[in-house]
Amino acid sequence: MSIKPVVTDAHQNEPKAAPKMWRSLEELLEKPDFQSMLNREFPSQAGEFTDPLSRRTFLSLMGASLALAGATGCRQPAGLIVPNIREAEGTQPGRPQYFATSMALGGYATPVLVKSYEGRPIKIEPNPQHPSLAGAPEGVSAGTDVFAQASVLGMYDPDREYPLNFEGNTTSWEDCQRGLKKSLTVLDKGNQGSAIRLVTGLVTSPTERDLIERFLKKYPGSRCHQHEPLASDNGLEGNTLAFGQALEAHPVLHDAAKKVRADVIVAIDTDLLNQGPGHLALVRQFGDLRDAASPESMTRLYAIEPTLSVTGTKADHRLAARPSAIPALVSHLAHLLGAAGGKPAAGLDAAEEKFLQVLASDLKEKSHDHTGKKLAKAESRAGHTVVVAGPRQPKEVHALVASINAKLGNAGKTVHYRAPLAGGRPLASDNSLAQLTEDMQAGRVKFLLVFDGNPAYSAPADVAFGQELLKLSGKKECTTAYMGLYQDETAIKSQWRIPQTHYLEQWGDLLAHDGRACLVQPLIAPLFSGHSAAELLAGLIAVESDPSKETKDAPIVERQGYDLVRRYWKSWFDQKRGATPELGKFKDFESFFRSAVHDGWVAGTSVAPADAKLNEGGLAGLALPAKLAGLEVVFAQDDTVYDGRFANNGWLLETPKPITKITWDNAAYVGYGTALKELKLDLKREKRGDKEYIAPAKSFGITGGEHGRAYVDVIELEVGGQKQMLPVWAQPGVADGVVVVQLGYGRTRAGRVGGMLVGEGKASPDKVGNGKSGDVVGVSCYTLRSKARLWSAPATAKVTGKSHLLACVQGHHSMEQDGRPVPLVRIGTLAENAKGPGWVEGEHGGEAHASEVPHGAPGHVHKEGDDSHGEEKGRLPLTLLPAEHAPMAGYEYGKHVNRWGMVIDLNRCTGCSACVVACQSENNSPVVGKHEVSRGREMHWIRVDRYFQVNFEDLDKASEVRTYHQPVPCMQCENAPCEQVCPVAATVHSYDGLNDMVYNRCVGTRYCSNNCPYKVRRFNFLQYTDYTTPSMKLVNNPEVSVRTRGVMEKCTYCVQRIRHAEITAEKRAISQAETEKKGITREAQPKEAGKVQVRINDGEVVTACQGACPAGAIVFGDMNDPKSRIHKIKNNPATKGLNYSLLEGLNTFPRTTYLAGLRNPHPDLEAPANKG
Amino acid sequence: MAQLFPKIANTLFRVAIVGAVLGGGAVTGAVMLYARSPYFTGSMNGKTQPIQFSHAHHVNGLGIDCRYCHTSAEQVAHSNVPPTKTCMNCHSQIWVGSEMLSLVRDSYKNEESIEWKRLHRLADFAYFDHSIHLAKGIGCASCHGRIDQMQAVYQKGTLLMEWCLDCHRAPENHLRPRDQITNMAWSADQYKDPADPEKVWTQYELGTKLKEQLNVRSLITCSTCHR
Repeated sequence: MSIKPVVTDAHQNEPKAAPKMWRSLEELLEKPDFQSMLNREFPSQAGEFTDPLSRRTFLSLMGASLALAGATGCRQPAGLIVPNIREAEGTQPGRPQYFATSMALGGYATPVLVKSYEGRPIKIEPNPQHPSLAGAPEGVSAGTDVFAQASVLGMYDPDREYPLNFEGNTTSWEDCQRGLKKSLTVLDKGNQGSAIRLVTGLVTSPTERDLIERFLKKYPGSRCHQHEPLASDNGLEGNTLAFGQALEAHPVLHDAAKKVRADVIVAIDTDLLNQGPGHLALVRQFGDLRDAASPESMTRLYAIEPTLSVTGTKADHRLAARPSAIPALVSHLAHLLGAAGGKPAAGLDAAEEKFLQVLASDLKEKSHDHTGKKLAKAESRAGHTVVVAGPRQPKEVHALVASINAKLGNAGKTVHYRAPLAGGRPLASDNSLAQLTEDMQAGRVKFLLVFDGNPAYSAPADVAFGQELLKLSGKKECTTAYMGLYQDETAIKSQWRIPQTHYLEQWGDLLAHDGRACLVQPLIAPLFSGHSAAELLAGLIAVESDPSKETKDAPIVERQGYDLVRRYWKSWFDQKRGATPELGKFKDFESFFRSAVHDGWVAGTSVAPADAKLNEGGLAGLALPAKLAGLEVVFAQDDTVYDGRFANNGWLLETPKPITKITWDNAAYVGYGTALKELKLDLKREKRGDKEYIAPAKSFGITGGEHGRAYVDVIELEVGGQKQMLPVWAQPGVADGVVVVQLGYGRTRAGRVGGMLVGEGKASPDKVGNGKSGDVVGVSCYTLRSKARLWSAPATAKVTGKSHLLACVQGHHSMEQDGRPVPLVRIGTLAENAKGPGWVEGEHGGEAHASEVPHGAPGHVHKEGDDSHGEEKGRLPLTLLPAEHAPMAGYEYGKHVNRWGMVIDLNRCTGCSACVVACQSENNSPVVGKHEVSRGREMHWIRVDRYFQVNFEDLDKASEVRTYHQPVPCMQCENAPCEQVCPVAATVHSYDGLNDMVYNRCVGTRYCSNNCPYKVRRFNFLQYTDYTTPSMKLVNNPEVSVRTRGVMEKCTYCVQRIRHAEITAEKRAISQAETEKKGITREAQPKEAGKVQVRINDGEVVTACQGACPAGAIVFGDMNDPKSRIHKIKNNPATKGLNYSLLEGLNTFPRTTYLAGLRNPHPDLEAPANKG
Repeated sequence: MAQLFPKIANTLFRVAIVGAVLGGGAVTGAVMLYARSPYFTGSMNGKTQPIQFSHAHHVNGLGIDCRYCHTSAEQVAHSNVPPTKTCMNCHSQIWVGSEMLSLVRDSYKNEESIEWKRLHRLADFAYFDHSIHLAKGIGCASCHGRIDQMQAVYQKGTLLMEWCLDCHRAPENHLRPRDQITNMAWSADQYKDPADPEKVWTQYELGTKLKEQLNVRSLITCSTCHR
């Protein structure tokens, strides 16, 4: 049986005036190769068996394993049951427990809850009650980022395993402490304290800071150097110019309790929604300000940036500018606003001039309402805007921004100034890595202890730390020690290599972005016998016994992480107790500490904003750095490996980067203008009309182009005499004259996943392999950095003639209609939407198709469920089948079972991809590697489609590129095309309407995937799951089956969580019914009174993607429950009309729907599009 | 030219055809039978445990409720094998010198777990939840058999999918009042309806009544057990 599709021609709905939306350039160009790819489910090589194994070896292996299977498969394998001696308090085997802890990233805390099964942490969830993430609406948890989600895998990483060793000889923790202490004592006694040096990253941990201070005091003359490759002091220095004191600026976009809201947000070269401490709180606040339910108060985001950042993709107006041009633009803006320090800039072009003028007036007052109508009287916006400058911008820009915020009345409201949270910031030149390296060269260093970082890899090119460390380690009289998670680039150059504990294995504390102290507690005993940095430091300064234990300055005797953290907070509590009212509720230290460990944060530690007074006189003479000519390289944080520390994490390497969708690599991103003008790349050219344009993939047409296999040119980038070869990626939206490189790749001692070069060798793109174990991933761009130019630098580039394969997923899983690619993301402006939601439906959604729905057909029940599926608007005929043949005719979801559904709010989604990693972690999805990704075989159950909206002719106009994100999980169709073609009924509907995937029935025909219009099914072409590495077995979620080769899989709506909640609700109802002597009903609106309803409350089922989403873009729930958020969204007059399904003309009735995105452009910068 | 095949070839060929059909059937049948045999499923097979713990003695003889030791069965998916501490609750008082219990005492003293041999091993892709089955009124004995009569416990059911589905298709054949779930010897005719004390109930009648009362569904869609 088949259902004839009723076609609504969505791509014709695009107004003629609006630019085209597309995912890959081939799609935009409508290339024949793309077309043929589109009509296949998988790229051409996806089904081929092209493993390095020869066919003969494969067959013999298969034969052997079959024989073995025969030998072992006859009987159930024997097993043991090993119960505990005593059951720990509050534990039950099989019941997961949640513990609050914090992950350190760049020194700051990401508050998390960790789910643990029998002492085995398996999943990171956000800590919903953490005040530093506050601002979440009711019933919505805060989120996490990709790094936190993937950190579980990092903990179980078998490559972390290395013995504590001295120049390769295994030794013990005690010997190590004794050895280090002996060297320290010798130096101390010989009055050579100044030869003792520590190297740390950015440290916010109060306990660690205390220990470092004690260390420096104990060994007079010793010094602590800091090296955090992504930390910047520009903000602190800028605020020193503006306020006379070093202050950190902390933006607040929305705080309902304090009536703080930023109606206009200006992001100046900052990815504030995706990077930096505090971005999780900011993105949530931003989401709330962009809520489609209240369009009249929607915020407007302006971005001025050289790269296309995640924040830039959410901007209503974006001005692409090279980094060295930005100071003049900001100064001009300050001038237009009348802020101190502002000077008119010369040489602005008309577009920039207009952008800044509109921006300035918008910052001052609200002139138009949300429908685009001019207000009779403009309303002042004083205190309701915020301007944020990014860490890459020089201090002058930060000073100007402080001045602008002061002028706009934002200080104390949308931006708070606090004293620096991290120790030793701004970094004195004496404490820099550069100074240390100089001292090492001059022989002034005899003892060096490095922890928290990998400076031998991440030092700028002109700081030869690695070389000096190697030399130092070779000297008998010198001692070098390194403590880290891996035996990495720095470790192998040191004498002592000390394994460190992962944050899930240690006690500690950290500060959140707003200064609140967060506790770190271990979830598991150290897997690879590591110790924490605090324990190492304590071991070097602790005394055997302490007669005056009670006093504050008494020497420490503790050596265990737990005791050290307790000791610090005990003395803090005793000191602060009287003065801090928040501590009044604790009767003693014990209850205070228990509550801190339980909650994950320490009460009474929030840092009050400082009183900052603008020093206007100091700003008057501000000299701006000069604008550069020629190419300019920008060094950016990587979206998935951070500064390189996550380079051995397969989940992160395989997560497509939010904008470029490249996996397993980094590249030099250039705008289309740059690629043409400056690089003179020999790129393939496309003739359109009488103009010639470039196509990014060099050999497109032979290999399937961007469909996972993009062969791109390799350029040689030269920055200040340092050369590096990099694959080049033409990226719409990158400012003219700018080359963006991401740091963190090209690790040579990361591990089996991230790269392990044995012996001497240099990574370069032509040497980089295809993702085989140990191959170096990407290219290091730290080698292009210099200490004077950490963030951007003038550069030259030339084409080498070589090419490199990038595994890019932007062309994978393209959805089509009528054999043509269709953009399925719907974005309108507020003004358009004010006229009614008709723009969401498109012109073919008229009443003409309305028809009476036969009883029992899947459409019929929707009315009872009362959500906004198509038929209610009378847009679609339901099914052409008679009622009794309709799929799932017997199930009336509307009546008595939960109707699970998901709404994804395109307004809130930033494309950060935390959902992708969360899903991978929850559902045991395997990592497949670059080689497999380049064949379209990645296994993510949820993908984030990224659309560009710009016409081909305007590709080089970086400011005009608009970017949208659309997460696509399984649509859970009620009328599922996959089910109709499965010959073995391996995918069928459940009683509550879920589209179940039954792995054990699946024989791997892949028909379902071919027939899936949304391309959300994933096939295990090979044995991807690691069944052999012991620690990799531990990371799996015990509630989800681990799939093997030859099995299809897809998003299940986290059915394990649904079933768990269902069982809980059933048990609750039964015990209630028993006490009240009543019957039980499952009807949504029970007709008979006096029965107990089985009710899964809203929020009891949170899918992994929903839980991880920091923006709150994913809402999951029971559409039959009138109290559920999803029901409200689908019935709220403001959002109902925005709710749409993908490819609804196919009559699949997806349970997953989308809220169309709304943009809020300023009418003076963008005239309302002439639609309909 | 001489005959290629002797005359008997005709007969042999007919026998071969019949043999192939029958033989194929027999092989298929044998595999099917084998898959259901106790040898394969492990049912009815006991194992020698490190300690000769007798359920018959503790349940039948002493009348200890199942949930005294298997504490989590009513609360979570997994029904626990008790920690050594549970044994020692009593055996620190009685039979303190028994040779049979030396392993228990050693375990308690040396903090070393007792390694019991596992009897019931459900396939990894099936997710069974003890708590919900007990909550709905499925007795322990329905799946585990008369544990109270087993000196050494063995696996009663086959744990094959058809065995689960028997009950999932028609739960009324196994439902019992919720206060009788741990009663090993329970049968429907023991049930007394306060409204009609004379009536002798059959399992089907009582099961149907309880099914209605608790609104017990017959859940046979895949994701009920497979995730």
